[in-house]
Amino acid sequence: MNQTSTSPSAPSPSQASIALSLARDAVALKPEPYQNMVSGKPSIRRGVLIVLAVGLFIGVVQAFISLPALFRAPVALTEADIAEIEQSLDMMRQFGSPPTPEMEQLFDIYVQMLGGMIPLIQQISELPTPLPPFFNRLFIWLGGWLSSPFALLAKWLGLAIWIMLFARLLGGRGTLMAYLNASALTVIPHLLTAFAFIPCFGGLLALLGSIWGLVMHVKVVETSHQLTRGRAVLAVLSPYIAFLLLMGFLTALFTALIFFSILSSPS
Amino acid sequence: MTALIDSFNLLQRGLFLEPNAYDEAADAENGFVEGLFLVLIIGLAVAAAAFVGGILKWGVTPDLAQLESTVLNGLQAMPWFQELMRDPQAAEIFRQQWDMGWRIAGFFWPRPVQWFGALILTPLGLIMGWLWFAVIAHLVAKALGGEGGFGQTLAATALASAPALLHILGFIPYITIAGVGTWMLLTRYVALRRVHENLTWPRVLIALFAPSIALALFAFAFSMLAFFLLFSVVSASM
Repeated sequence: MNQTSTSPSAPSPSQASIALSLARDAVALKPEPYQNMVSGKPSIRRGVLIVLAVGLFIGVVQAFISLPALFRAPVALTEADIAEIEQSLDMMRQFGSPPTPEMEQLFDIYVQMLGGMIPLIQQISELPTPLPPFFNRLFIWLGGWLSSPFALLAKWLGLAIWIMLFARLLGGRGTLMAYLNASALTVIPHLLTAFAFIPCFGGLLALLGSIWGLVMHVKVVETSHQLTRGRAVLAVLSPYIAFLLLMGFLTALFTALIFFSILSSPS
Repeated sequence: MTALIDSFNLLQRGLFLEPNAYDEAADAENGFVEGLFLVLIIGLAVAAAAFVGGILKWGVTPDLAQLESTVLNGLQAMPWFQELMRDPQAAEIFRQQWDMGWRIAGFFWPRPVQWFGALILTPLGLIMGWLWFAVIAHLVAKALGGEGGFGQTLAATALASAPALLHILGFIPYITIAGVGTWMLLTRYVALRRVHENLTWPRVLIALFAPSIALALFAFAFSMLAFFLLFSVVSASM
């Protein structure tokens, strides 16, 4: 058995404070945390732990916010949805552009349909199940909370492998392990996503976190691949540029196909 | 028992891409047997979790027939639905769509046969996926100049199935375990890189994606064959 493997243990207060100062320094773009992660053991254990911890925190906040849904009947949720639509209509009337008569009619039909659904939802929620209905709400709540770290993990890995590939193509010399570990630090600003529930301001915070994460990615590429700032920026932006180009190409292709089929139709 | 603990230890090191774990796996005397054991452990653990998850999901799901009649009664009480049903053509289309929708729903509705099916199909699917990947990736790696042995590829790629262990959390209904595919891509990359050390990273990437490309081509050829067979049968009967 390999001796380098360690069993994860609960961090002591000093370890927690070290981790916090590491996170703070990483967000402030100080070089030490990045060098520390790059030169660590050849294992992504630390990186994965950072991502899971951030994901769990986001999940905990969201779970806390959605806690009332655990104890509310589905009918109450539908009623809340209707109230939300009516509220947003009122806001549109007071501020900004008022809804057009067509939009107003559409909202009315939607609200009426939802209102008509209430007795049906009530009946469905009263259908007998082997376990009490509370457990269904509990599982949905728990599933949502525990899915959060995996969503962040998928986002991190998905982006990291593309940036790694472009960094290599641009002459980077970093190893996969060093890069992945260091890139895990870039998920720290995503902690702001936890506050996405705050109207208007929450979305802005989440966007700020994502942008700062990309800035940190540049630092990661510079440190782990020994690339110049310009090349590091290019490596980080390349996946997005490639995605946009692909989307543009597919849209152009699709449009051309539709256009061609219209032109070639006998009528 | 010790062998099981050792295997779980090796799997968690493989999960975190530790290169020496892949070297250790590749050094096994019989790569196929060792690999099969690892994949079987993962498959059985995940299947057991899916079994528990299936029971819990069933525990919070109402009976399908009861749900169907409740929804139908509810719809019939709505004015727009009564209006719609006055048109015989619309009523007929609705009846067809309704029947088909509930038949499809019945296929996915939680029921005991699914749990027992998962107990067999999960390990089997993992084993088949592992063998397909190992065989194709090894052939391509060899063609590109790789010097690793087949047994080594089998054992190391079996360890690369470690991220599938995350599906153990599938015992919690409604959980979404995202990122497993990408993680497995990374573990497989490390596995191939350790076994075929002499290959450059772009060549390892080719070997890594070859099994997926081969599977897509195989599926395309199979569907084309099925289409032509169906077409010829229909043509002959007309």
